[in-house]
Amino acid sequence: MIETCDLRKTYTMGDVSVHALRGISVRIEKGEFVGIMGPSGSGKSTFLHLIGLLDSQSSGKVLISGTDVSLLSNEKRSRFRLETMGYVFQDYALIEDLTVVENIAVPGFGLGMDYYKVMDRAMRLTEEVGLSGRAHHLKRELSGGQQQRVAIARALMNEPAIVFADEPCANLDTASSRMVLDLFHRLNREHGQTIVMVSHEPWHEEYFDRVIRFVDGRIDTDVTPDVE
Amino acid sequence: MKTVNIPVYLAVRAIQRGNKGTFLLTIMIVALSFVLMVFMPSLTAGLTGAYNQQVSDYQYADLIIEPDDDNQVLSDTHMLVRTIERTPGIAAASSHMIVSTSLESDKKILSRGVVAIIPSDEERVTKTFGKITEGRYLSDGDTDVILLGSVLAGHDDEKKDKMESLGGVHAGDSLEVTFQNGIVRKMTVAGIFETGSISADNEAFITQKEMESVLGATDKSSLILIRSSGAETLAETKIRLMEFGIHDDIKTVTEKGEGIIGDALKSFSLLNSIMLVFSLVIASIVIFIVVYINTTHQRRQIGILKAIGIPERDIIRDYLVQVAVIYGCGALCGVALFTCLSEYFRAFPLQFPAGAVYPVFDLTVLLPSLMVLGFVSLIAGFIPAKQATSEEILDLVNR
Repeated sequence: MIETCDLRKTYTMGDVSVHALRGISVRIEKGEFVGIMGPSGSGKSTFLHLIGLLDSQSSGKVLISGTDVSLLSNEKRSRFRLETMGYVFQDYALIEDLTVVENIAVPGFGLGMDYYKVMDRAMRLTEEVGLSGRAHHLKRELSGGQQQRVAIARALMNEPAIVFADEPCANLDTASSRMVLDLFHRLNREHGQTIVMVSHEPWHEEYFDRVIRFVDGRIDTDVTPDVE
Repeated sequence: MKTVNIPVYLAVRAIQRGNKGTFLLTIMIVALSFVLMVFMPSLTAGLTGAYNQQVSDYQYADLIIEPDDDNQVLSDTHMLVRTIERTPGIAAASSHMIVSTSLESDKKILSRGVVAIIPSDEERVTKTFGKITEGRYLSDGDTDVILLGSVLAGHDDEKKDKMESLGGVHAGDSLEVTFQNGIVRKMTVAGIFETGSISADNEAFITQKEMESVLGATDKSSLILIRSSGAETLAETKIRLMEFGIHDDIKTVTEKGEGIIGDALKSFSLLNSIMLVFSLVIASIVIFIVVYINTTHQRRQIGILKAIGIPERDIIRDYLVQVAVIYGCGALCGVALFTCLSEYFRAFPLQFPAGAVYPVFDLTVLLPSLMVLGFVSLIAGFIPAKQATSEEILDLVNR
């Protein structure tokens, strides 16, 4: 599904070069729920951004379903993201002027799907994340946990092959975090959804099939946690 | 299948749920910029129209025939007038012979060219006969009488005079008129007319019968005024006259007027251009600032849309649609505001030497202004939207 070969990313800040990733080669299979963990500055978010096509690598390759995505033009990368990937950001990243159901529907409209089909699916996803009573509310009328559930539903709108989540529980309390993680877990189990999530909370490990731990821009460990 | 146009969808929601105050303020600025753009040109058009109407009504009718460069006067005037009147599209013609004189009232002496006319012909060509304020108009058989314009007649109080005058002459007063051949006639002022046009009201008329009694029968004239039937354009009538064998210098009233107020119109045109540029700059800067602030505030949103996979061009179009709506509403408000102003000035016109003037609702002024303002608005919206969407997704999202 996702394969990286000697993936490197170097940021230049004035005269200083920062090596955020130092040659990552990894393979993530379809249907896996993978946790990317590690201390701050270890390169986990950079890795997520590169495999999620939100940033470009300095060298190395990213193959998704056999496609070398570094060879795609900007236009094709946009389309690839729209068709293949869903994103959940740390601070929810909802569009202020849209209601819950409209936010969820945006990727479907972007794909050029039929309006009624999009709205029907958006409503079903709203129900699935437990927000059917808030379908027509704006972002400012929702709690953080509710906003994150909307973001998850939006990420699933186009039935993407992979969902990327960048510390989705960072701004949530434990109860809301557990609700979001339960939701990801259910989607992974019921729909076989591939999920790649960045997290720094040790207790999140219990939800992951596999944990890739980054330290100083390298993979430190790549293990399947022992879940009781 | 009903698909959604993403730019329109996002733009409509942004307008519906965005800051109404900013939206309305921007619309008002576009509207006022539009009014600023069109007001002066429309007023100039009104002024030109009023001037041309005044010149047509009281001085030159619709078309003027003057001697060509090789001649001082038109010859065979009687035949020429009859030929003109037989030409299709012509309602009437009247010959003018300008005679140099010296006019002497009790108070002043002025050198003036007095116009000799056949009053019955003149009545069919100009409207001066309807503007008598004192006494009466001339009759064909009149002798020893003169008709004066109010400016030439003047006021008893010299301070009220707009130009050099005879010092307050009234109907029934006597003038001593000395012709170029030395003959002196004592004439009674038959009447005073006031048209509102300074140049028309500075004229004096006598009958051709009077002139012939002084200078002898000449069958010559300085110019011939022509009133068209209105069935065709003046340019077409002019060509028709040429086809009927009139080879003298034929001008339409507009062509004649251009020569007289051409410099004034050029000055107005310069002022109009300055106003136009200022209006466009103001409108474009305001729209630029509004879209720039919008895109700056919505950088994260732009980043999110890009991250989701919405193409850059659709995100730019979102802002262009918003600008188009602002422009459309602004243009409509501008047209409405201008119409109100135009109607107000129609009811309470501005007073110019050319008469009552109000801004004219002229599509040839309004449409180009609307198009230029629309184009400038879109460019002003496009630049900040393009700048914002060109940035890297992470730079936008992490702001």
